[in-house]
Amino acid sequence: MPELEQEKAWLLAARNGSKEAYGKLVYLHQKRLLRLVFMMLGRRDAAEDIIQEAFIKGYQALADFDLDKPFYPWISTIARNLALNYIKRDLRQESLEELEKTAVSFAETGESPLDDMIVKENEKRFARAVLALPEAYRTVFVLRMMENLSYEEIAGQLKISVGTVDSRLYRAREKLVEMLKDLL
Amino acid sequence: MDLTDIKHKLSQYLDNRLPGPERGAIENLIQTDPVWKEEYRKMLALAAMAGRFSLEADEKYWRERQQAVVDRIADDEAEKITEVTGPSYRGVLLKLAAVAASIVMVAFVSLYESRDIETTRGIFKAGETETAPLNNIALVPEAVSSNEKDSASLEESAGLNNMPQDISTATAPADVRLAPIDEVKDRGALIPSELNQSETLSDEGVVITNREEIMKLTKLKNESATTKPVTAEIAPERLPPAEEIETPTLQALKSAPSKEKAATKALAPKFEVMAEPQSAPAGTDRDSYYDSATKENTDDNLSEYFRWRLAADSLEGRYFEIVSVHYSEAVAKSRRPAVSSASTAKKEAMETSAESVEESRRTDISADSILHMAQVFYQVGLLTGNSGETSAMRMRLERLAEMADSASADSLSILLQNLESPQK
Repeated sequence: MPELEQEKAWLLAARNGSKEAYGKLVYLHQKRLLRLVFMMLGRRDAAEDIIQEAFIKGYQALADFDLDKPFYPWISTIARNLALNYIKRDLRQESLEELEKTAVSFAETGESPLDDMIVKENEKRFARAVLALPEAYRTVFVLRMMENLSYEEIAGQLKISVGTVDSRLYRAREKLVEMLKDLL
Repeated sequence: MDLTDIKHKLSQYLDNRLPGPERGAIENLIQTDPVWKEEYRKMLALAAMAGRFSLEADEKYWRERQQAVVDRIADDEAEKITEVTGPSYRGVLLKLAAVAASIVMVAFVSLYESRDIETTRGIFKAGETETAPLNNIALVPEAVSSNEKDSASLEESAGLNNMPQDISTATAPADVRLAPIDEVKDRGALIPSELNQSETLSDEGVVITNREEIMKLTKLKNESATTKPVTAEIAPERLPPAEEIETPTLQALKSAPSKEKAATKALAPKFEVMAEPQSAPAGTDRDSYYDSATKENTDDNLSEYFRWRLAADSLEGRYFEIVSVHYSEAVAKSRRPAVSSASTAKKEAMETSAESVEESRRTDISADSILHMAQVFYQVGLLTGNSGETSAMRMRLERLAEMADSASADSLSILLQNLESPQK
């Protein structure tokens, strides 16, 4: 059975109350969602909580989901919204200075909260570099480069202009190329 | 176009965001300039790295995360079920609380009423009624008490309470002294001891010292007393006909050849009722015993009691008249000084003659009347169940026995003995 057909069958069963079927959907998409949310937040515990909350909200809203569409974009939208709310609510309470120190620390020490989950060394460096970006740049970069959202989608998601998305994306790439120039 | 602009254009070119003319210019630059070609290659490598980036973990970790989500969903559903069922439970609880409150209220009212009943039952179970089931009606003791009080007040007003049993040794009570005999003309008027002999009290309580006033007041009092019990003539028409309250018991008493036979025949039926053991038999429940005893005896014996009590009330006036006459004569005799001189012999003879006439007129008390009266009082004392009334009736019987002739006195002594028996 093709992947989309299988996913549709699980969704149908989950909509009828099968938590086992919904568990399979969770297992199928949780890794990708964790990568997205973690790269947005830079915090593993918060990312795990948000992923779990996103799946629960998705289960509760299954009745509104169009079964003919893929599940991941829908559930990732929920997760992104939760992550962005978290950023607005919590991360913004920390000073930019603190965030910059954290980013520098990742870049210099070569350690990040997800190091144990990254097997390849170049991917660890990539993760550290992304986490070292300012939050505004990092979010746009992740949404564009890891979620393949368009400029318009990113602008709509972050409630910024398309030009701002374009500018922030350019600056994120510029910094990452600079930080990872020996790997690229 | 500076380097920054070129890098920005490369970023836009990578995302296919450049319009046609600029896109062509950037493509031409990448193909022709090795520096911009290398810059473009790095951006492509960064995008590829971002695309390949993934998180790796043990299978156990992902299963735990999966199970955590499923468990959370199950928990949330359980909470929702609780929330949905909560209001209905509250409704049920409210209904149950209302029902419970109603039950408590009904129970309280029932308990309150039962306590009222227990209070009434308390009269039935009082110590006095344990020996007298007939007295289980609250009205009876009150009525008896009232009658006793009336009787006691009448006896007290007649000066009988302080009278000794032996008339020959009778003396005036300690708290009173007799007025001078010449002033009260041997009428037995009493003056409080707190007053001097030359003083007396008017009806309004004013101390009167004037001798003439005292004489006048004393005369008025004595005249008033003369019309009252002390010297009143017995009015036979005030008595109910003896036949109306004549009973087989009385007939038996009158015709009894001997006092034992009379007592046995006449009094046995009544004692069959009252001679029942007044304490509950061994092995029986006391309350149930008395309840049953009361139920069995109340209707018949109570009506019997009231019948006799009615007769006793009708005879009460005559009884006090008889007793008053009897004791006033005894008092007069006890206070009369001994006559030794010849000069007073004539006067004594005259007085004796006058007294005999008066006595023949007022002490027309036949043995039948005394026996009849005694029988009625005996029945009341027997049936009342009230120890106070029994004592009062026994006292009346004793006084009637003192006034009766020897034959009647024997019958009365039997009645007295029988009346004492139940209490023993």
